[in-house]
Amino acid sequence: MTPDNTSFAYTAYTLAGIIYLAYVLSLKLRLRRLRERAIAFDASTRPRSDRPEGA
Amino acid sequence: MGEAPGTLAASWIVARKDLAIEFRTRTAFLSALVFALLGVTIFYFAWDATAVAAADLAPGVLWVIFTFAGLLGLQRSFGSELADRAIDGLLGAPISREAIYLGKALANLVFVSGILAVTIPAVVLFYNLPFGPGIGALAGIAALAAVGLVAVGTLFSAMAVNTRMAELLLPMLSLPFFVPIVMGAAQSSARLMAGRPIAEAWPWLRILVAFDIVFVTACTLAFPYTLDE
Amino acid sequence: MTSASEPLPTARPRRDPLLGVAIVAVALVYVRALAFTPIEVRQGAAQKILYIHATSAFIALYVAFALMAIASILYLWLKDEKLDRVAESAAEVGLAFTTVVLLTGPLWGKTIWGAWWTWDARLTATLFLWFIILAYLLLRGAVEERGRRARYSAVLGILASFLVPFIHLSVYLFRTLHPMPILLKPSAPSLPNEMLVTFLFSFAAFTLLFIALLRLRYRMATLRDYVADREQERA
Repeated sequence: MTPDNTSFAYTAYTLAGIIYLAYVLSLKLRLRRLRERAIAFDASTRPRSDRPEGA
Repeated sequence: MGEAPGTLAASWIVARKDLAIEFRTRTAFLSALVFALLGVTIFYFAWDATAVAAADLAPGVLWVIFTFAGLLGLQRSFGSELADRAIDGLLGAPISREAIYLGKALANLVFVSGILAVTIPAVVLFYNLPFGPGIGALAGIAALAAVGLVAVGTLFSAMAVNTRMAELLLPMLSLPFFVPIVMGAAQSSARLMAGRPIAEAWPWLRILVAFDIVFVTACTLAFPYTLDE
Repeated sequence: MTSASEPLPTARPRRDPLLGVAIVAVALVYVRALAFTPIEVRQGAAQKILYIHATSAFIALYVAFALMAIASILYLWLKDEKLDRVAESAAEVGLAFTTVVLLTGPLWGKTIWGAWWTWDARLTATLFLWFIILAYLLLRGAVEERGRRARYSAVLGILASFLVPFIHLSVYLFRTLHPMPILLKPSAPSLPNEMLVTFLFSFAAFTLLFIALLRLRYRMATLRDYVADREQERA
């Protein structure tokens, strides 16, 4: 008699999917924030042409 | 002065210095001691004494308390150094980095052993443990467990003390490593105190000994990497 | 420290196709496992949990954690910052995988053993792996100076790689000396072809996912260090 535990299977697959997707999103978000910071930083230092050495 | 002291001699010097500072005030030692004794007592009330015999409870209580009192003791080890950058003086001295680690670990070992020397009789007393040959074995197990705890704990307290959340970080880093120690100590002492033959306790003692050998070596080798130079 | 000759990390919005491919691959595995793989007669549909649980576990322990340990050793030896970033990335991605393992495992265990959790060697070692990686990441969060952070993490990473096998062995001993109630162990004498293929697909897909996530995380670490360097220079 095959037990009916499909709900367990679906729960597990869903949980796994949520965790992995959440992690992907967290990485992308952190990457984007850093990029914004870096771009803002570069933009604010570029106009200073009186600096002898390059940025 | 003559040549720089060898590693063992240097360790002893470092240990003595640490212990001298410690016993001048004795605050940390007494606090840890009181904590241990209170813990032992509180645990007694946390169980239904009619359902579980006190003697069966005792090993578990002893080794849990040992863990947390040990952590308290480890905290003080580098705290005093950080206060006035005394570690810079140590680093300037002509002693090896390993000697600094061994010296501090030795001081911590004395500290933890001091706590155990009071706590174990307290447990025997409060939990009505049979006063047989198992008690002597208990001292031996306690020594092995203390060595393991101090080896790992000294290294991690050296790292934790340089961080913002030292009091939280030290337990978090150390406790996973204490698990094999507690397992080995608790299982072997439970068997020996119940009067079982030593052959039954032997596998657990082996874990304890193996842990000590592996981690004393690993931590001694790793310690220089925790220093900033 | 990124040198002037390297392209600025900010000037690189190129999309990495690997992540997209990996996600699609995993989605395909989901479909295949749930809809196109036969149900195991004795365990029921819950057996399918293993297709993602077992592969995630293997990758978490033998790929992520091993990479973290190896990168840690190499860092202490070679002192190259890149190795430290590899270690931290492997740790974080490994934590995600281990979390999935610890959540899907009990769901399978409940149907097979009737218990959400048992303290057997493998489960306990996996749980402690999770704790240790978490401690590793929290340690990194607590140390601000980069060189020190790398060194401390490397030491913890190496010690952890001794501890996890130790715990596994200790608990194995614990279990074999304690007569435990006989738990229903599903025997898998020979895996039918379709199941084997699903396992292999799953393994390939999740490995791709691991690599894609590792690269993404590594890129984040590089950018973070770059920004920190620039901000420090200016300060």
